[in-house]
Amino acid sequence: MPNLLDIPIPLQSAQTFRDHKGITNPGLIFDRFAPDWSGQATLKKDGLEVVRSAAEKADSALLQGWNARWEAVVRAANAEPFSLKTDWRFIAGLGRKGSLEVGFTFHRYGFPILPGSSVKGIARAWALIEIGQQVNPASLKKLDEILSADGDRDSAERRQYEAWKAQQPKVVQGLADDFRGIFGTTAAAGRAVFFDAIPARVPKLELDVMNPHFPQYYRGEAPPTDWQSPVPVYFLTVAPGVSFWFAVGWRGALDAGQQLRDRAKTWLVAGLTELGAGAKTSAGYGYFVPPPQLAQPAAVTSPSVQTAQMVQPAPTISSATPTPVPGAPSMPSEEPVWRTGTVREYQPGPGRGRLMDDETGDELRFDREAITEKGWSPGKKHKVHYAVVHREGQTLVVEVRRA
Amino acid sequence: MFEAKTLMFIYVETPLHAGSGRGLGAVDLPIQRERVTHYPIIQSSGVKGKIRAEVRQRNGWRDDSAEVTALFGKAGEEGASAAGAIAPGDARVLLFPVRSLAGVFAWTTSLHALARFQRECALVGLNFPWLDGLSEPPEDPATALIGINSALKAGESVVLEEFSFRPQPNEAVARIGEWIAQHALPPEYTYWQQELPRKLIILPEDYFRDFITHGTEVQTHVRLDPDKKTVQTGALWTTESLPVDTLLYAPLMATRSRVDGTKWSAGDVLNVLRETLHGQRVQFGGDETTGQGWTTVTLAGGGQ
Repeated sequence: MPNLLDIPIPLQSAQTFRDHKGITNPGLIFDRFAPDWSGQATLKKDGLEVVRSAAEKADSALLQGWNARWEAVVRAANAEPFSLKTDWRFIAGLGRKGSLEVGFTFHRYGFPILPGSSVKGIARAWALIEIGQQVNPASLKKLDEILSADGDRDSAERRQYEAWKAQQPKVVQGLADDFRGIFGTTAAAGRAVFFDAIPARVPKLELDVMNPHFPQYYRGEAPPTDWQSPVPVYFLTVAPGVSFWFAVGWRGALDAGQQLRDRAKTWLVAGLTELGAGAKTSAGYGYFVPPPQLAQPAAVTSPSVQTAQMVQPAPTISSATPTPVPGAPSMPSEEPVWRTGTVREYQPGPGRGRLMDDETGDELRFDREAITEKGWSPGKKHKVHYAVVHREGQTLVVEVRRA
Repeated sequence: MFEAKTLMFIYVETPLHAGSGRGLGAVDLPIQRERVTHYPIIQSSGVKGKIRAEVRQRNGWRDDSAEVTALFGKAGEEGASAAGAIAPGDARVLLFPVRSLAGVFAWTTSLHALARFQRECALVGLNFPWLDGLSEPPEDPATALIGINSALKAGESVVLEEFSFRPQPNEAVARIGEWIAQHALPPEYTYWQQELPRKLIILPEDYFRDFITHGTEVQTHVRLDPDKKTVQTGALWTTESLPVDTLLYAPLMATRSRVDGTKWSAGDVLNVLRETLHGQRVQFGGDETTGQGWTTVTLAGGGQ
């Protein structure tokens, strides 16, 4: 905990902050109770650490109430909620202005969220890429301009769009019209509604660091020389394996067969799994994966396989459309139960192990796919948190993480 | 002459942007506010337009049908135009959420906001529990009123954002919270109904005004270049919206139908609204396609 005088806010508030132990809003601490680190850069990390540990105590009853309300809202907007997990760490809002140098998007309730406008942008970006694969445009920006043509039916801009469309194969014509219907133009609002993505249970936050070795060079002051001191920059991330709820709704009556809405959802899932969300996606942050499919646990979607599939231009829509749509699990039944246990045995080779529940003493099997932290081999007697679901009379371990 | 009146509560469930166009201040797209008090509002014309769209769509009425004309009026040639039977007022703020060190967030209000609300309640025949003990603001400017079993107390103070207040427990606060929870929150909101009396706080007017002025949600938006994945030139803007858990209320007043052929009394007119809107989820304001502006609408009271 930083020194009282290091927090530049009214003294009475700082005192209460120091003395009160049950603070459950990490977002408030992050925005308002950050230490002044101008004299001592290490305080930045301490400040973030306070936020991170407060996130562990976040109000789960509130999250549950919020989840229920969120579901009611999205269903009122003709949406089927679905969940995806963070594959590795995820950062939303890194570029926001914050007193700890790097930003982070907290909801007012103190939980990380991905705003609806970002969700929509991701789906739209993927849709552009998918159409681009068919028409090989000079640039995606050019294609974006063509597809977003405004104006009345006989305006010059619309005529240009119609002329472009007439030259395209049938498949592209269909996709282009879908694109305009789903995302809209500045002249007509889109029909699809992209909701904020919210965490399904209290998410774990983790500290991360970037460490530019040539700070003077990046500031344009000196060549990149070895005698410059690296300056570590700490930032907050959402841990891997955290489930988020997503929803794509529809304005007005649903189209026949809900094809358009489902296409919007497919584009969104592809965008989240292939392009990623938030900051630092080119360093592997921000990618989502579908929760393990219980029927075929081995077929957990591996991003690399899909990426390979996406690189080749695909001849038809059906194969260009990626398949990781996780169905539409209804919220309560899909929600796993979390318990704590002790590992009895784990064989990294075949990737199989056994664990014992701390309360009931039941022994359960688990395999590598269930382990959240990639590359971690739990040893004998390791304490773990694990998630189970009941299916067809069997208890399956779907997630294992360090306790 | 209005013959029937009711109160419409609007409980904000996703950030609500009732925009006032382009702003010259720090935020590019600010929300609508009252000129004098600076309280956020949704203008009555916006409320009426939304009610019209919802009533039309949910009942499957055509825009030029006799029902829609009777309820909302018609513009036309001289002799062919008619006034509508429904007159909503501006939707005003009653509760505004602010983050709290204890209890995650607080529903804040002020004596001024409550007094105005009570006036509207009296107008529609609702009995809002106002106690004499509350009508005088505490002498100390940093004292705020909380319920007896408040969840907001962190030690000896209540800290909202970075400001601390001296809490003064008062029986009336929880009673007001329970009343609002019962009348303005939909029945399935068990969790929120339980929390409201524990997290309600009545702030000194100046502080409440500061929070509703500077404590709204401000979202930054960018547009990325699809080729470079960098921000396009000039494509960075900020939008202001009312945060989740804001509670607004608007009076709805009705006359008998003024259009020949429909025999609706003022009571019938309000009944149509009640049957169509009460307990429903309605989207207000801008940015609908990014999930903004969802609310639950509740109609309470119906004085003749």
